[in-house]
Amino acid sequence: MAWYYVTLRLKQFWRFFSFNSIHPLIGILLSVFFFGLFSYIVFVKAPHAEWVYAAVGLLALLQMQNVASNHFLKEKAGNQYIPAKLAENYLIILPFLIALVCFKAYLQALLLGLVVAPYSVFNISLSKPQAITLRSPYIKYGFEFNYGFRAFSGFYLVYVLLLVVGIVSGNYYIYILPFVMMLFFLCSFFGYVEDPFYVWIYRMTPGRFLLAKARMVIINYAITFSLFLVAGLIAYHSHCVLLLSLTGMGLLAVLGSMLLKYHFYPSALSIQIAQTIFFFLCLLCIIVPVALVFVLSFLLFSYYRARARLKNTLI
Amino acid sequence: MITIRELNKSYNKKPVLKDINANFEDGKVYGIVGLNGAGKTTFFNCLSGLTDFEGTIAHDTLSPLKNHLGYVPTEPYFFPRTKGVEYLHFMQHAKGAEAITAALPAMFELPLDEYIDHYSTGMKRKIAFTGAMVGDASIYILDEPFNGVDIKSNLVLKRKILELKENQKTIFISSHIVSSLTELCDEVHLLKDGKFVLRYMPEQFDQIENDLMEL
Repeated sequence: MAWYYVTLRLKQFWRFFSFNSIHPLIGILLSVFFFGLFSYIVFVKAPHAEWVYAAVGLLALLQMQNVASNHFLKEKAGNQYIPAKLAENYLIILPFLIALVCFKAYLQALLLGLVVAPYSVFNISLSKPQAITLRSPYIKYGFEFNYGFRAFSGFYLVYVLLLVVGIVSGNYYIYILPFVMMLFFLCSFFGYVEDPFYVWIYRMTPGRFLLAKARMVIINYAITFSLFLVAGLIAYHSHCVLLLSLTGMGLLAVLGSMLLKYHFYPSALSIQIAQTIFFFLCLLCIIVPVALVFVLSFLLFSYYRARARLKNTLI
Repeated sequence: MITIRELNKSYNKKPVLKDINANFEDGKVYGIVGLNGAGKTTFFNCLSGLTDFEGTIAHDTLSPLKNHLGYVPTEPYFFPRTKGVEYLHFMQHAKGAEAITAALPAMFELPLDEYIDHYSTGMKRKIAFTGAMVGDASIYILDEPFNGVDIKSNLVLKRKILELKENQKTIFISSHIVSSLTELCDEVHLLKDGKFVLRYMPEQFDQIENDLMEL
């Protein structure tokens, strides 16, 4: 049973690539390359790299637990649940263990290896989620507001806290950090690929639909970052040009994230690749202002492509 | 009247709907039956415009057709962390409906202030049905509306469908429960391998089950 379960999980991993139109062999090679690169960077750059790396391994293990799947396995596998789960969890952390051993972090490798066994037996992710409903201030707006707000509501508190710390301590980098963090979140939930039904349901022309979505981006962006901008302009007024260009480019990045989604809709992989490239292109504009020409042209092009792409679904 | 001409649809070169030609009159309830994989959901997706297809689907007065539809998909999708009331507000906003009448959310006595993620299968189907009723559509597509719904809600659903019929709405229903269709429909169409192979009028409804057994 345990062996069959692990084989099934490996097949799922293999199919993950083919389902995303990547040849599994290429996907695995790319994964190994990026994992190796990530490990190398962590070990070379980060202080206390061994501990950070072991913590990342543990975090990856936690992230890859699926409550529904664990419940199903426990119910169906009976006393075979623990061997199956042990095998699966050791397989997940195996790359981390190999990297730790390669970088001679034997103690951390041993500790990480030891933590997995009790974790698999007393799986904390087996606890059911609580039915707490969080009030959203964005109830009348589109799904992105509510989904994004609820998914990242905890980070809003961290965002405000870091802003306050950044300003009180006079540390400019701590002040900028929450902006970048929230920008990632906004880009991610405005770039979230919804089910086609939720585009189809709108009784609007593609142009009006995109404008309505753009309006939502602007409102949400203004609500999220007005505090950042006002506080920054007061506390760091000598950096006002940088702050204004940062918030301006951030807005373009979120707008681009939304437009690119409909440009490639519904091909999720192409959307994510394009959004990542566009995000970094927007950040590049702060250093190389001439890149703004490309950003604006790209936005315009994406708008027309998105309009054409949505024509079949919306009219 | 909805006119369908030479409707074809394939997925990865595998034909699912083959040369469908049909006319559907306004104000009638049409039942669509067929085995799993016969093409019922694909037919509804083409009719609604949710998927592209070859051929034509047109209404003589309603254009674009999709703006006059209420659709309950067979597996309704809901955004994560969204409450029932927000789903209905979203439908109202998306369809450009003026308001949601108080009777609509009360229809199934759903806990609208809870996340849909925590709803049961039947409750999810009921909120999807309620969402499809928001706004004033002329045509309703109900793909397996009775699946997983409790007895009381089943009766509420049937009453609502009959009420829509009285108001001259055109309704398409698919179901694997033949008795539900024969109670409600004016015509039942049998879909086999992507084609409408038989059409039953009320006096022929008792043949449906026998024909399905022989498929």
